[in-house]
Amino acid sequence: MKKLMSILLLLMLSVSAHAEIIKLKTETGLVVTADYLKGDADEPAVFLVHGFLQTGGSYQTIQTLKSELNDAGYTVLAPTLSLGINDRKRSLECEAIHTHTIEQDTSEIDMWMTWLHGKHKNINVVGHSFGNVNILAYLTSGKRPVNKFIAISIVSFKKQAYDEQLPLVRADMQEDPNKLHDYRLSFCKKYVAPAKTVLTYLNWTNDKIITNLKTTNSAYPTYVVVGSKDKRITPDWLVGIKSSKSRILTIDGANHFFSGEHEFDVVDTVVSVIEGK
Amino acid sequence: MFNKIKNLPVLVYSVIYAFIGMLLVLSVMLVLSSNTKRASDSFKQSITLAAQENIQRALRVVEKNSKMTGEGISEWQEAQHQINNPGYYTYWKDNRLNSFNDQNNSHIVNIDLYNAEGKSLSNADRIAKTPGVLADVSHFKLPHNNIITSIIVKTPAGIFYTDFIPIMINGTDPTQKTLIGWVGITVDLKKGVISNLNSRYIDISTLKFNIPDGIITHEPQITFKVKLPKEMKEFSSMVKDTEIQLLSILAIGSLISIFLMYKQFVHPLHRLTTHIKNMDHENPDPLADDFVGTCGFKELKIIGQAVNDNHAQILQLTNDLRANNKSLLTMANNDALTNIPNRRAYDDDWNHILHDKNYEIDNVSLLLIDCNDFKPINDTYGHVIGDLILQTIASLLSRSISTRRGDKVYRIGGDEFIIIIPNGGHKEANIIANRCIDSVHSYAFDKFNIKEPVRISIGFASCNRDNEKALSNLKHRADIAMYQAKQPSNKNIVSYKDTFEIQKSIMSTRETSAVFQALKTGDGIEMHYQPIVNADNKETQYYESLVRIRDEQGLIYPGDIFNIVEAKKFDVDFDRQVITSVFRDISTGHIPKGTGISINMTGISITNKKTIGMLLKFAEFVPDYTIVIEITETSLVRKLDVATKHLEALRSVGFKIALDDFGSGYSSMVYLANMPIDIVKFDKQLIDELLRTNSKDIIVTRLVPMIRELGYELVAEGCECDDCVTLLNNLDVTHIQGYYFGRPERIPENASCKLVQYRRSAKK
Repeated sequence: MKKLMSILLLLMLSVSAHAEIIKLKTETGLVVTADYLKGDADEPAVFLVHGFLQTGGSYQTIQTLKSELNDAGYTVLAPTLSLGINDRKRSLECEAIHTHTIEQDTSEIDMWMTWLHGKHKNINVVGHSFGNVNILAYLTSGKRPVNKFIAISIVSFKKQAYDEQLPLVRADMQEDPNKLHDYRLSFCKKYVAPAKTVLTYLNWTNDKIITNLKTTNSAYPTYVVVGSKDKRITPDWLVGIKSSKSRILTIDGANHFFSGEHEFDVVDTVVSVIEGK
Repeated sequence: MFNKIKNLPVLVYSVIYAFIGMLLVLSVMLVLSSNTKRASDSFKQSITLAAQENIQRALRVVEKNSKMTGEGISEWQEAQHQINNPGYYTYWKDNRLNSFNDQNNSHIVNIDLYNAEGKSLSNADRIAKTPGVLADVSHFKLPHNNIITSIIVKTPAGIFYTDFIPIMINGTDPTQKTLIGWVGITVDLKKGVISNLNSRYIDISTLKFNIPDGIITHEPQITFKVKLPKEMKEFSSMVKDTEIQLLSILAIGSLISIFLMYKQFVHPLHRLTTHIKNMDHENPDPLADDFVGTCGFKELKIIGQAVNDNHAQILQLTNDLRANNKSLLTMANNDALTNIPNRRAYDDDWNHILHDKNYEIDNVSLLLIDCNDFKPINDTYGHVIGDLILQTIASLLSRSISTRRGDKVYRIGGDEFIIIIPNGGHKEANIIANRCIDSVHSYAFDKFNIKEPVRISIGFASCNRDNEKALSNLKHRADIAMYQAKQPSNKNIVSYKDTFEIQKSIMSTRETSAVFQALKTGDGIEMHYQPIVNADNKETQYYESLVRIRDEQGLIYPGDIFNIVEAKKFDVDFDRQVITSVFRDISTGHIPKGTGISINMTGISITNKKTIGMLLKFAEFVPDYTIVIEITETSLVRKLDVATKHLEALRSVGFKIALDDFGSGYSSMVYLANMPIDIVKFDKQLIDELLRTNSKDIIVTRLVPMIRELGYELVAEGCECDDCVTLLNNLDVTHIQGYYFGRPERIPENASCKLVQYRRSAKK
C-alpha cells in the first residue's frame, strides 16, 4: 500500500512538474482556461476537447489521456470550454441555465488552437463524445490545419432528441427564442436553456455530423475510437461513421467513457494512432 | 446595661432566653435558606452564563452557516455567471440558487445576488415580497478586498440577519481577483438561533432580541429567562419544604419546651417566689402540698420542702416573738406603778389622732390632771404612801371615763395624768372632769394614814378634729387650763379659754424664748455672784452664783426662769448650762482667788450622773477656791441612795455640800439626817421670823445650836439690816448672806466695805 502511495505521489509530482494552466480572455471578456502539459519538443502536440458540459481539467477520461499522452512525450493542451462561465472549473450541470452556443464553443477552440499553433506546428486533435462535434465544427471551418483527428466515442444527440426536442425548440424559437425551457438534451433530462441556444447544438444532426466527419477525414486522417460496449454507439450510428470512411478503432469491452481498465487501452490506441503504428 | 436587667423575674428571663433560642433557630434557618439560595443563585448564574454562551454559540453558528452557504455560492460559477448574465436570474434563483437553502439551513429565508454596486439582481416585486431582503445595499458601503459584512434588519415580519459575501472571479492573472458581486444570505435570526440552541436551561418563549426598528450593523443584544432544570426546581422545592417542616418542628418544639419550662420551672418558681414574698404575719399558711407535685425539677422540690420546713420554724418563732412583743408592748406602754397606759402610749395614741386620717372622729378632748401638793405628801409620808395614792387616783380616774367611747387614762409624769376623750367635746369633757373630781375627792385616802386631803386639779381643752391648729395645740391648751386650775383662787376644773393671760407669761413670752434659747445654746445666761461672809470677821468667804438671763430688754430673774424650767421639767438641762457658765467664769479668773463659789443644783440633777461629772471638773480649782454645791431644799430627791453616793463623790474631791432654803419646807430634817451635808442654809423666812419676834422664836433659837452641835456650818440668808447683823452675832451662825453685805452682781463684790460700815455703826 505504501509502495502504491509512493508511486502515485511520484506520478502526481511528475505531472505537476509539466502541467500549466493557461488562461485566455475571450472577446466577450470571459476568462477561459486550459491545462497545458508540455511534452518533448520533437513530439507532436495533442489538443484534447472534452465532452458535452464536461471540463478539460477534471473529467476522468480526459485526465487520463492528458497525463498518459504527456507521459508518452506529447505536449497536451486540454482547454475547458467556458459554456458562458468565467474561468469554469467544473462540469456544468444540466439544470443550470445554458446560454452557451456551439458557435461560442468553436470560437474558443479556435482561440486555443491558435494559441497552441503558436507553439506547435504538428498538432493532433483528440475529442471525446460530443467534443468531437465541436472539433468537427472547428475543423470544417478550415482555420488551422491539424495532423490527425482522433474522435473517441463520437456521438450525436439521441434520435429522440431530434425527433421530439427539435420540433419543440423550433416552436419555442418561434414563440420566444430567449425564453427558458426545460429540454431533454444528450444525457440531460432537464436541460434549461432558451431555444435559440439549444438550437445551435440540435442543428448538428446525425447527418450533419457524418457529413462533416467525411469532410474532415478527407482533409486530415481521421480515426474513430469506439468501445464495443458503448450503448451510445448504436448500430445505425456506427454505420454512419463507417460511411464517412474514417478509420474505426474498436476497444473490446469498453463503454462510452472508457473508465476503469479501458482508460489505458484508449490511451494506447491514441498513442499508436499518433505514432502511426 | 447588664445591671439594668439584673433583677428581672424569671418569667422575663425565660421569655428572653426563649426569644434568644428562637432567634438562634431563625438564624440557623436563615443561614440555611441563605446558603441554599446562594447555591441556587450560583447554579442559576452558572446556567445563565452557559445559556448566554449557548446563545452566542448559536449566533455564531447561524453566522458561520450563513457565511459558509454564502461562500459556497460565491464560488459557484453559475452564480458568477448570473452576475454577469442576469437575464435569467429569477429562474435561476428559484431553481438553482434556492437549492442551497436546504433543510439544514431552513432558517434561511432568502439568498440573493447583488452586483458589484450592491444592487439586487431580483426584480423589485420579488424583493418587496421577501422579508428582510434589501434591493440595494450599496449604501452600506460594501467593502472590497474580501471583507465580509453583515447587517440585521428588524421589520414587522421579524428580525433578519443578512450576511454579504463577495463574489470574486479570477482574471487571466491568477494573482488578481475581480469583485463582480455579492451573495446575500438572509436568515430569520430568531429561528436560526433557536434551531441551533442546545441548552435546556433557556426558556425559548422569553428569548428577545433587543434591537431598534430598522437596520443595525452590530451584534444584537439578546435577553432571555433561564428555565431551571426540573431537578433544580425539585431541589429548591425540597429545601423549601424542609425549611418549613424544620421550622414547624422547631416552632412546635419551642412551644412545647416553653410550655414545659413554664409548667415545670417558671410557674413553680413564680409560685415559690410569691409564697416567700407573702410569708408574713398575714399569710401564715405553708406552701401547699400540691406545689411539690407541680415541680419539674428535683432542686425546686427540695427548695419548696425547705421553705415549708423553714416556714414552720419561722411561724413558731414568729408566734413566740409576737407573744413576747405583745408582752413587751404592754410593758412599754403601761405604767408599772399604776398599770394604766404611760406617756409612751399617750404619745402613740395622740399621734394616731393627729395624723391618721382614717381615724374617724368628729372632735376630741384632753384632760390634764395633777395631784395637788403631792410632792410634800410624798416627802412626808414616804414613797410607799405616795405610790398608793397614785395607784388609787389612777384606778379612780379609769373608772370615771367611758371606755365604750374610747376614753383612755394615761400617767404621763410623777403625779400627772391625762385623759383622751375621742368623739368628746367640751360637754363630755366637763362631765368626765367632774366625775373624776368627785371620785377622787370623795375617796377615803385617810385609810392610808395621811391627814392631808388628796386633791386633784383638772385643766381640759376640746376641739373639732378638722381644726388642725387647735388639735395640734390641744395639749398646750390643756396645760394652760391646768395652770389656771392650780391657782388657789380658781376652781379645780378649768376649761381652756383663749383669754388666759398665763399663756403669755409662761408659754410664749419673751422670758420663755430667752429660757429656751439659754437651754438650747447657753446664750444669754449671765451668772451673778452674791458674797457670803464669815460671821466672825465679816470677810467674804465665797460667793453664791445666781443665774440671770440677759436678752435685748434686759435681765430675766430666777422667779420667771424657774417657773418655766420647772413647768417644762428642764431642771437638769438648765442646771448643766449654769454649771458651764460658772465653770467659764472661774476658768477665766472672773472669781477672785482665795474666795469660792457655791452652785445651786436641783435634787434631780444631783441624781444625774452626767451632771455630777460636770461638777467634778471643778475639782481642779479646789486648791484656790472653796467649792460649795447647794441643793435646793424645795427640790425632791427621789433616789436618796444615788444622791448620797454622788454627794460623797463631790465631797471626796474637796467640795462642800450645802442644804439650801432650810426651814421653808416639810422635809428638811429628813434630808439633813440622810444625806452628807456640810452646810445648812437658813431660809430668809426663818431670819425674818427671828427679827419679828426679837429672837423669841424658840424653835429657831433652839435649832441653831442643834445644827451647830451636829457639826454643820450654818449660813443665814436674807440679812439686809444692822438689826439683822446684830441678831445674828448673838446666834452661833458661821456665815451671813444678804443685801447688807452685798447684792448679786456680775462682778463679784467684796463685802469688806460693808464690814467697815458695820463696825462704825457698832461703835455708835
